[in-house]
Amino acid sequence: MNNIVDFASTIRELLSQPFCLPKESNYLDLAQVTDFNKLDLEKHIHILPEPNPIAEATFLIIQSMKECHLAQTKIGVNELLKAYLNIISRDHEQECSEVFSDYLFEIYLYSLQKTYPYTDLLWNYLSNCFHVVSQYLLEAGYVRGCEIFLQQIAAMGKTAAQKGLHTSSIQHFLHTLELRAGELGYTDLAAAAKNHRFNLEIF
Amino acid sequence: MFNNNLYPFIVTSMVGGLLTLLGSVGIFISIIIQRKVERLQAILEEFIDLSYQSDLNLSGKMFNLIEKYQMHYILPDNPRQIIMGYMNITIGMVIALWLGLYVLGYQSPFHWLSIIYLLPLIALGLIMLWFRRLLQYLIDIDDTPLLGSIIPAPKRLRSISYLSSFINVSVKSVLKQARLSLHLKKCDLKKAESPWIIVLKEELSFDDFFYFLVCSYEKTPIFLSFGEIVFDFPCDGITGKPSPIKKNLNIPLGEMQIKNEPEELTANMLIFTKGEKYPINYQYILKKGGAYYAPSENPEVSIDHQITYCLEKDKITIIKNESNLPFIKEFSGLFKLNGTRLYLPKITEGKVSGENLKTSHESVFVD
Repeated sequence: MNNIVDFASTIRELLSQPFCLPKESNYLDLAQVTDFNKLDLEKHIHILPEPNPIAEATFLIIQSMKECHLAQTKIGVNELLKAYLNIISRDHEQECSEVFSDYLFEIYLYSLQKTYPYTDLLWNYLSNCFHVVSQYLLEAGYVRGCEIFLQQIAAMGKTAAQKGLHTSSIQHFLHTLELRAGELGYTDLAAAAKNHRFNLEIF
Repeated sequence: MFNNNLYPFIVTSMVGGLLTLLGSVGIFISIIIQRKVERLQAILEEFIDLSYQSDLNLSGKMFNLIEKYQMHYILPDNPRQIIMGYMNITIGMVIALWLGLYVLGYQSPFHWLSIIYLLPLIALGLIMLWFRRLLQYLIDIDDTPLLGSIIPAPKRLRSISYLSSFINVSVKSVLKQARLSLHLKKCDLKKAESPWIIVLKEELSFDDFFYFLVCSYEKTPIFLSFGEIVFDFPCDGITGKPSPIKKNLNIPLGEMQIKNEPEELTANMLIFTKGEKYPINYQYILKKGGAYYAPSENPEVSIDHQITYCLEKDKITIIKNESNLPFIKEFSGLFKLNGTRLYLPKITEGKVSGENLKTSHESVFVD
């Protein structure tokens, strides 16, 4: 799949499918079991996992990275983030943010591979996207979602700084976000952003 | 009683023993210092090597290296005092014993010529004090002339002027790691007419340079500020640790009124350092967002070959100026390196006068 338009439409198709949060699924995931007594193996063993379009999309993006097709990767990330902003709602703000930022982190981790030549370029692109996404989340009032997203960005920024990638844009946007959050009265978010900013390059 | 003939020899051998011990202390100290200097020079070299890799993000590494340098730089206070105490007592003892020998060997009557016999004692006393001073210089590395030239004090490593004039490091690449950026914030969010405070942010606290900043709106200058940036970080109040370098530093440059609050402002900043002849030019595009202005993207940084300057007696003299930045000519007489930051809060119809200049007294803060 080398055509960018085909790639984009496949990803969009995947991401437009209904998306199921891990908690709502009936599939038995041993890692998620909290109450041992309720572990009803016989009842659950036949249930198949729910389709996970986001994971599929992420896999496609990573596939494009394997082929070093940067334009496709950028479009993939862009579509993923757009889908996130489209799907997020007040009811499952937290879960949604967690799922999407985890997949984003996977993509980022793959880009750190030594064999991947465009680490810098993709990182710059990601930093630019983060700015807009978190600003959007903030303006739309998704404070909890924004906090989770920031946490993941900060984790990425920290590894990036260790690898010698530039984090000035992350620093800068964390600062503007902090100012804006303070202005809008979200003091917790502002404090979290400041904390992330201060810890970004401590290792 | 002791044999009077033998006693002076006993005292002499005591003096000999004390001096041997003192000599071995000198050797002991010099071994420690030698190891220290080696360590410090290795760190210094690593630091300088870093400065050449400008395309990487090195601010974390630079910070850690300077902290590491600081750690190896100072000797703990307690052993230092013990060594100094030991030297004081030994030197005191030796001089006292010498005096004692003089007393033993003295035969009346008194004659003025016998004062000449005292001269070697005075000379030896002076030499002993010199020796003491030398060892003291070795132990108290901070700000002593002996080692200062070989291993600079940790705070020197954050000085752009030092790095550029003594070590051939590219100022531009060091400043890139400092990530200078400009922010404008409203002093009071509630008041509509509140003045805006303009802050220079540094991710890594490099200092010891002169800046000249002009903020403009559609090529009309609205704010002007210039001065020297020098920091003085005292030891941490709680832990007592010295802090040669800090992160996330904010330098308030001044206050201004912005009419109509446009969406976009531009700012030009020139950086003059001691070891160079062309200033570095930073160009910012500041975008408004809520009650603040912040750069929308990384600033454009270039070496401005249109301006040539030199340093004379802590004053910057502009030799050649072909740039179209305003007010350099008018104010270049005031470009003094005295640690103050001056600003013009208001520029009406492009006219300026030195009388309206204000000094920014607000201190630097971490945020």
